[in-house]
Order: sequence, then C-alpha cells, then structure tokens
Amino acid sequence: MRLFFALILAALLLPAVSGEDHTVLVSQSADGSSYYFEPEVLNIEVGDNVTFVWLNGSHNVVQSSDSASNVYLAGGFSSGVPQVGGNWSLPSDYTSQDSTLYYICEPHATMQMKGSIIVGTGEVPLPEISMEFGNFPWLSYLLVFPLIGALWTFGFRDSPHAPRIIALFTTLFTLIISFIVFFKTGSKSGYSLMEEYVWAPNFGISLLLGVDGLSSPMVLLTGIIGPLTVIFAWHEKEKPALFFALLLVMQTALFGVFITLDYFVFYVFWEIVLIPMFFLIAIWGGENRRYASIKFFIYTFTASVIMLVGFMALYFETGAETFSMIEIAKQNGNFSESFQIWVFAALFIGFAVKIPSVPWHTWLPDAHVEAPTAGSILLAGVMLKMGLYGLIRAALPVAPLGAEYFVPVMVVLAIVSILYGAALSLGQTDLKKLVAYSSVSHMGVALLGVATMTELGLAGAVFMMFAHGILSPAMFMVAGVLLHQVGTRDIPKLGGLAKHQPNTAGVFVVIFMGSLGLPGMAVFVAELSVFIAFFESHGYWLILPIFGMVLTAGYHLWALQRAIFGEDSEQIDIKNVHEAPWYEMYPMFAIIVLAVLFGIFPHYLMDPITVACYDILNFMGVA
Amino acid sequence: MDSSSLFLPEILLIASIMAIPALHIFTENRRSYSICSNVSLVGAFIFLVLSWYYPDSLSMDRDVSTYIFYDHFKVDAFSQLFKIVFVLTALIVSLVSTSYFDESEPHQPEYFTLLLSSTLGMMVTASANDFLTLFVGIEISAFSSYAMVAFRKKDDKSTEAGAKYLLIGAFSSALTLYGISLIYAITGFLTFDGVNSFMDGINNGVVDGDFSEVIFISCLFIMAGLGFKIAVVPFHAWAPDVYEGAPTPVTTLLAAASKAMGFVAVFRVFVFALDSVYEEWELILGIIALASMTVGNLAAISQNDIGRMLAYSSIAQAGYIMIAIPALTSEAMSGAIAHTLVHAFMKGGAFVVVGCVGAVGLGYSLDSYKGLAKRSQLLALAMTVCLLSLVGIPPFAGFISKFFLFYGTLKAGMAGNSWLIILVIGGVLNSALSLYYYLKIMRYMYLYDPEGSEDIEFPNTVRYISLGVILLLAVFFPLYWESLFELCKEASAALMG
Amino acid sequence: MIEPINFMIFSSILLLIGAYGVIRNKNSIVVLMSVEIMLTAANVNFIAFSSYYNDLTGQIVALFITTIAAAEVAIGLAILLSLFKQRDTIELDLLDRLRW
Repeated sequence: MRLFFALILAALLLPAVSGEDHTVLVSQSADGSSYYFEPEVLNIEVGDNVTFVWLNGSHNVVQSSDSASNVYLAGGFSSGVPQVGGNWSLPSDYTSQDSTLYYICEPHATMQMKGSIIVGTGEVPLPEISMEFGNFPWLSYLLVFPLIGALWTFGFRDSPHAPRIIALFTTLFTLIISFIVFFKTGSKSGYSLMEEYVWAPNFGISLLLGVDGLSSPMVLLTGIIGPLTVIFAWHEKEKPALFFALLLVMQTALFGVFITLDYFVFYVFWEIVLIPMFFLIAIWGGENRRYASIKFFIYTFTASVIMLVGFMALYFETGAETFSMIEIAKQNGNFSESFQIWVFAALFIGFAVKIPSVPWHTWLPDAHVEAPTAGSILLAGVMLKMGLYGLIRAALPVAPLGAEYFVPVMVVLAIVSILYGAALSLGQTDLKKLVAYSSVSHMGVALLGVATMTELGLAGAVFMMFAHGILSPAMFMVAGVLLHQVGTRDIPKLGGLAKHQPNTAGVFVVIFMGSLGLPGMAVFVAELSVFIAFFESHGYWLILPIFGMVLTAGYHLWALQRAIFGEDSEQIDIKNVHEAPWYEMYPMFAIIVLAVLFGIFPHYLMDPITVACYDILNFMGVA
Repeated sequence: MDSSSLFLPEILLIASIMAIPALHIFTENRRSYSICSNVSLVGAFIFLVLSWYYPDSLSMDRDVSTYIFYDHFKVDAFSQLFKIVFVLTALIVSLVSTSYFDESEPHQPEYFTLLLSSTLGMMVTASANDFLTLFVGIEISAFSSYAMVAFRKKDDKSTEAGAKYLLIGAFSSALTLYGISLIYAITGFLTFDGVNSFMDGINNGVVDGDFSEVIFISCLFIMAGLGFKIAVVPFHAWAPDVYEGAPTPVTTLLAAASKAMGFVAVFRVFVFALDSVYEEWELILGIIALASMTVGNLAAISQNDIGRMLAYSSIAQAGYIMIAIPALTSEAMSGAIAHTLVHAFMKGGAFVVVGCVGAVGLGYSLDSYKGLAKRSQLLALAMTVCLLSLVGIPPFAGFISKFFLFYGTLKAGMAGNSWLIILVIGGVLNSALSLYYYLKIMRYMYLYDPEGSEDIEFPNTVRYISLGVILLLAVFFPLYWESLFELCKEASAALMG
Repeated sequence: MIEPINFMIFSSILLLIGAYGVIRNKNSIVVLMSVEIMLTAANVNFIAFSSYYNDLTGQIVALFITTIAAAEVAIGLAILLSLFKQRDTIELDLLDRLRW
C-alpha cells in the first residue's frame, strides 16, 4: 500500500522534475571584437533547466533588471566572480513561473554581452483573484430592502407604532441576509456573490457588487447594528416615520459603501451616507445641533471631494475606461511612484477625516454629543469604519508605493490619535464626549495596524473595526440610558447608581471592561494583533501606544468608579432611578454576548479577515 | 418638407408675440394671454422634440448642421438642445407668472409679449451662424428682459434694477460689438465658419501677418461683453441687484435661460469660431473661471436676501462651467453643456420656490424660509433637491453634470494641459465651500419653527412645477444620465464642428 | 486713400471717449449717450473695413447697429422715465435702494 502511494506521488512529481535541459554558451570571438551569449534569447517552458557553459574568455552571468541595464540586479541570480571555463546551472526557482529574465556579463556588459531567457509566455502572471458571481442576488437585496422599508414607513407616517414595527421588521430581515452573506463568503480568497449591473457604459461605471473577507465583517456589523438602533430608539416621539425612514436609508447607503467594488458607485454611496446623518443630527439632535450638523457635513464633504479627484486621477491614469477597483488595482504596477504618492495623499485625506484621525477629528465630538443616541450608534458603530475600510479597500491596493511613502505619517498620526484621544477622554465630564474621544483613540489603534502593512496588522485593524463597531454603540447606549433614566450624563453629577439599578449597572460594567480591552472580549484580540505587528515592524516604539492603552484603562475605570459606584449623588433624584427598560437592556445585552463570543472565538472573524488582508497585500506586492 | 420649416418654432413664438397685443384689444381676460403664450411655447417645444427624434421628415440631419436663410441660421444638435431648454424654462416662467401676478397687476399682455420675445431672442442666438445674428439675438432677448425687469413701474426696486440692468447691459453689448468689429477688421468675415477658417489659416501659415495683439484685444472685448451676460467676475456686479430687484418670475428667466443663452454665445464664439487661437484667450478664461467661483461663493456666504444669495451662487456656477472652455475637448464641452442645462433647471427650480414664497407674502429674506418644511413639505423638498443639486451631491442631477464637467476637464488636464488641473481642484474645493450657504437655507427650512401662521395656501401650479423639478433632478437625470450624456456629446460634436 | 489703421485709431479714440463717459458720468442720460458713442466706434470700424475689403457685410451690420441703438435708447428712456417719476432724479449715485 505504501509503495502504491509512493508510486503515485512519484508519478505526480515526475513531470515537475523532468524539465527539459537547455544550454547557453558564454563566449567571445578569438580577437576579442565581440562578446556574446549563444543563443542570445532563449525560449523555455516553465520547469526547464538552464546551464551556462563557458567556452573562452573570462566572464560571469548575473541578472539585470531589463535589457537596457548594465548592472547587477540586487538579489537576482549570479554565477559569482568572472571565471574561465566550467559551467553553472541557473537555480530552478527562477524558471518555476512565467517571467522574462535578463542577464549580463558584468565585465563586458557595455560591449553588449547580454542575453535573456523567456520562461513560458514571458509575462509575470498577476496574482489570481477569484471572482465568483453568485446565482442569487443577495447583495442587491441588502441594498433594496432597507429602501423599501423606508418608503413603507412613509406610507404609515401618521401612525405612532407602524413605523418602528416596519423598521424593526426590515432591519431584522436585512440582519438575516447579512448573516447569510457572511457565511456564504466564508474564508475564501477573492470576491464572492458578485453581481454586476451596467450603469454608464460610456464611462465604464457599473454597479459592481461583491464581498470578500474584508467586507463581510462590515456587512455583518451593519446588519447587527440596524435592529439594535431601531430597538433602542423604540420610543422616539418626534416624527417617528421620518426618523426610521432616515435610519433605513442610511443602512442602504452603508451597505452600498461596503459591498461595491466600483470607485464611482463607492463615492456615490459614500456621499449619500451624509444626507440622512445630517438630518438625524439636525432634527433630533441636542441644543447645539445646528452647528454640529453643518460642521459634520462640511468636514466630510470637503474631504470626500478631494478623494473624488483622486479616484478620477486613477481612472485616467489607468486608461482602461473602467472604475472597477479590481481592474484598476491590477494596473498598479504601471503607476509611477510620484503619481501613487499624490493619489494616496488625496485618498488618505478623504479617509482620514472619516476615521477620524488627529488633526481632522474635531467634527466627531461635536457630532456625537449633539446626535440622538441612535444617530451616535450608527455614527460610531458603522460610519467611522467607512474611513479605514476605504483606506484598505480603495487606497492600499492601487497605490502601494504611495502607501509605503506615507507609512511614517500614518504611524505618527495613529500614535498621536491614540495618545491625544485617550488624554482628552481623561478630562471629559460628559460621558458622550468621553466615548467620542475614546473612538478617536481606538480608531488610532486600527490606523496603526494598517500602517504596519503586514497581514497581522491589517487583520488586527479590521478586527478592531468590528470590535469597536459593536462596543462603542454599547457605550453610547450607556450614555443614552443614563440620560433617560437618571436625567444627566454628566459624570461628576452621577454616583451610587449600582445600588439602585444593580442589573443595569452590571451591564454597564461589562461594557466598560470590554471597551477598555479586557482579555476575553473582542477589543483585546484586535489590540493584541496590532501591537504584535507593530512591534515586529517598528520595535520598541510600541511603548507609546502601550502607554495610550494605560490611559485608556485609566479613563474607563475612573469614569466607572465615579458614575456607577461611590456615594449616592446629591445632584440627582437617586431614589427614582430604576432599571433600564427592556428596549434599552436587550440591545446592550446582545452586544455583550457578541463581544464575548468574538473575544473567545476570534477565528470566526479572523479567518476571513486574514485571507482578505493577505489578498490585498498580495495586490500590493508586499506579501 | 422644406428645411426652412425648421424655423417653425420661432414662427410660432412670433405669431404669439403679435397675437397677444391683438387679443388685448378684444378681451380683458388675463387668462387668455397666458394661454396664448403657453400654447405657443408648448407648440414650439413639441416641434423641437419632434425635430430631434424625427429629423428625416424635416430634411434635417442630426449629424450635420442644416443652414437656412442664406447660411445665417444654423440648425444642429447643439442649437436644438438649447432651444428646448429655453422653451421649457419660458414655459415654466409663463406658468408661474400666472399665479405670481394677481388680477390687479397692470400690463399683463405686455409682460407675456416680452417674455416670448425674450425667448425668441435666445432661440435666435442658439441658431446664430454669424456674429451679426448672434448679436441681434442677444439684443432681442436683452431688450425684452430690460423691460421685464423694470416691469413693475410702481415698485422702485424693480425700476432701479431695470435701470441698472439696462445701463450695464448696453455698455457690455457695446463692448462686444467693438470686439466683433475688430474681428471683422482682421478677417473680413462675420460668419463663424469664415472667421474659423481664417484663424486656422493664421495657425497654418496660410495667412500672413501677426495679428495676435489685435486678436487678444478683441477676445478681451468680446469676453467682457459676454461676461456681463453670464455674470462672471469681474463683470458680475449687476447680477445680485437685478436678481433681487426684478419680479421673481423674471429673475427665474434671467438665472435659468438668459444665463444659458450667454453660455451658448460664449461656446459658439470661443469654442467654435476662435478655437484655433486659443492661446490668446485660454488664460483669461481660466482666471475668470477661478475668480468667479471663489468670489461668488465667498460673497454668497454673507448674504441675507435669498435672491442675492442665489445670484452669487449663479456667479460661482458660471465659474465652474467656464473651466471647461479652455480645455477645448469634446468631453469637457459636453460636460459644460450638461452643466449649463442642469443649471437652468436647478436654478430655475430654486427661483420658482423663491417666487412662490415671496408671492404668498412671506418675503425674500432668509428668515422667511424658517420652518418652510412645516408650511409645505413639497416646496421645502423641491428647494432641498435644487440646493443639493447645486452643491453637487450624488445622486442628484447637479452631481452628474458637475462630474461630466470636471471629468472632461481633468482628462484634458492630465493629457497635457496641466494647469487645467488647478482649475478642477479649485472647482472641487469651491463646491465644498459652497456647501455652507446652501446648508444654511436647508437648515432654516427644516430646523426652525415658522414665524407666524403655519397654514398658508400655496398656489397649485407652483406645487406641480416643483414636483416636476424634483422628479427631473432627483429621479429622471440620475437614472438616465447616460442618455443625457449622449445628448450633450452630440451637441458638443455639432458645436465643435 | 486713408490707411485702414487710421480708422482703427479713430474708432478706438471714440470707444475710449464713450467708455470714459460711461464710467465717469453720474447722469443716466449721459451714460446712454456715451454708450451710443461706443456703438458708433464699432460702426466706424465696420464701415471702414467694409470698404477696405470691398464687402457689403460691414455696411449692413452698421445699418443693423443703428436700428438696435435706436431701440436701446427707446427702452432706456422709457425705464429712466418711470424711474424719474418715482424718484425725481436719474442720478446714478442716488440709485441705492439695492446695493451696487
């Protein structure tokens, strides 16, 4: 039996090792007037062997970058110092895939002693991306259902109950679809469930939908946050129909951002996200809502038009009349370094405002503080992820050299965001503002992961996006509950809540622990991966972000200690504080379950993410 | 049919122009005047659309221009497209005017006559094939609009706006005319084709002599004159005053159609007749474009009167359109044509709402827009769509046309004319800047409570029109933008010969 | 025969006189008159080069311009008249209901 297997194995291996042998003569004419390789151009198949044989003269064989170059290509093959007579075999690694190898004789390169070997087709094969078109339009359903729900709520705009029931129904339905999408994508490499609807053939714009391991966690996140937002806003009294309709439109736009693979459509969805968010803040916001909503809109819009210029520059540079991200990324080898640097700068500004990274973060605290809780949940939970998602999906694959150029900038911005966000959080008394600044700090960690440009770092960043995407909504829910049940979210005014609402306070504690990165919960996994990756790439600079984590633990625990425990506060009506109602408890509880689940079994998420990150690094030529 | 039947839309308008004063002799019923004007405009519109889709039956060829009246009148895709816009805008204005002016308003027959003759002038401009016809067309339209702006003789704002518009307009047309006379002096031609081939001759060395200074000066004069019509910096000072002072339906016509007519003239002169000497004028136009968008947006921020704010926004929009002209590629031009078209509808739509809010007695300051959403969801929505469209936020029509515009210009910029990239980046940053004051109006409409009563009846005509504008800008153009682009491409191909 | 350049110089002097009149004058009627001078400047060019090129187009244009100028003055005077009825003045500096 063992022999049988050995035979089969040998039979399989045989074709691989028995490549044809070729000989290249290394020689010069007797009078020294010409130096040559014979044959000068050699066509061989993949797996063939090549041997160089010295006839006369003192020569060597070294690889050069192209037919015009006269110098040794660092890291290429070399037969060593010039020798007289003898022979040398080309290592088989070099003939194991399609490529064109140029080589020279170093002493005589300027006398045109050059040659080349064309292996197979001579073209270096592009990394294969599997593009699997689905037979059922799951992704279109993700886009269409919330929209239908939004129109539907408008049909019942006079009823007090119908809008929220419709919204809950719609979001639960999309949650199911997003679970299906997540599991159908699995940890396959490449894009799945693809769909294409041509929109403007003249410009090469089509609604190209597809998910990979990078977008499927984001789709899942958007799906999860949807019903939680609706349940949490169950008792919205003011214009409920419009409120829920905007939430649903927002969900469509967010799904659109995460599943589209076309730069133009990506931009369209990216901008559409702004409109419902603007109205959510502007109509249902706090006292200063007018200022906050306009600031939010102008900051992000300015950044995104710069991003649009970057997209268009990419489109023209490619010259293939297509906005498809896949097609453009395939061409990244043709982009010059300076072009990549400019494009990456334009895209980075667009994305960094959304992340938000210091120094473009100032819109975030204002928007968060003024937004209604449901708006904050969507803003912190999903919208902030658009920035990093866009950076990884739309900027890294097309401009690897630009990204490399900006690594120091990204690292500095990330570390400053971590430290500055954490330091400002320490000083906040408004719980919502505290969470807003902690978002800046957490997203800084994710940006740091991207800046390492390693598989682990990227995966950690994406995991952080997911983990923060479920835990920061929970933090905002805590703030919302405090405002509803206690009447304030000002930390110094609170105190002693644990005695009067023990269950609610318990939930609060767990959420705070999760957010500060307690081992066993999702944020910890992400932080650990990012820090390991950062240590590998930048060494002991790790001390700075670690210090940021100490501050993070500090402000979480301090806030917890002041608000939940301690003496009964005099400034609030502590006797009348009750447990939070079901529609506020269930969403928080659901989030805790998820955070623990992904903290203990991170591989459910990590596997698809890692595969997708590997693909992206492959595109960039880094992996 | 004879190809001179292509003049039929204009003939319909002329007939109506003569019929309305005649009607006035027989009847005092003001409905009859507006019906007469609407019928002729609808007739012209139908005829234009038919001539677009069934060109064969009119011995017209969509791919080549048809010339009538001894080559002075040119009918091609470009002219037809813009005539459709002019007629449509005039129709909207005519419909709105009926509800804007009440029974007691005097001189209504004259008003409709002037409206139609202004439209006629625009249509003649669109079809002009020589400088004289162009000039006469512009003047027909301009004289009628001077009178329309000053139409309310008892309202001193209206008369004052009319006087200012007249004096500046007369000055500017004198400048244009002098520029044209210089062109005639150099070339001996007045037809666009003649001038175009002469200028080509200069480039090819067929024509001897160095005319670059004279050409530069005449371009400067012509641009100064036409710059008044399209209201670009530094020839923009009249626009805010006139937009504020004129009766709002007239403002609608000026902002939507008259501005488009100015652009038609600019396109015909610079992109067709003078395109081979672009080195003389490209820098002037580029600077004007950059200056008008920046000045327009900055000035708009601090305005308190909605008419003035929209006037400054018009100046900025004219700046965006201008960036495509130095690019001189077919893509950039189709972008410019698309944005001119869409601009007519979004500005027109915005002014329809403004006129309606003013007509019911709420006033024209920004404060009167407080809580508009509570008074009428539809009008607030129409205004929002128009404003978001003006900013260029997807998926509204303004985004699409602006995208064409920047797309074409950026493409030309990356293909070699690299200073165009600066114009595009300036345009993009300006769009972001403009967001501020558009959002201010939206904020007033949605976030504040109305001052005074919430129950105000808005006329039905305006509601239907605003519904139409919403559908056009938010549904029709975004869904069928490929066909919009096809139309504009055809028009730009016809324009550039 | 007079060289065409002399006509050009003459017409540009006329134009400058007209433009100066438009810019410096406070009286609307004088501004209208100055505009007429500017139109005349263009007319001079047209007629001179019409005879230089032996081409009738220029002269036809001149006729058109004369007509247009007449129409312009008619409308202009009408508007200024109604302005005068309201304000008892047609001084440009006093037109300040709308900011310039």
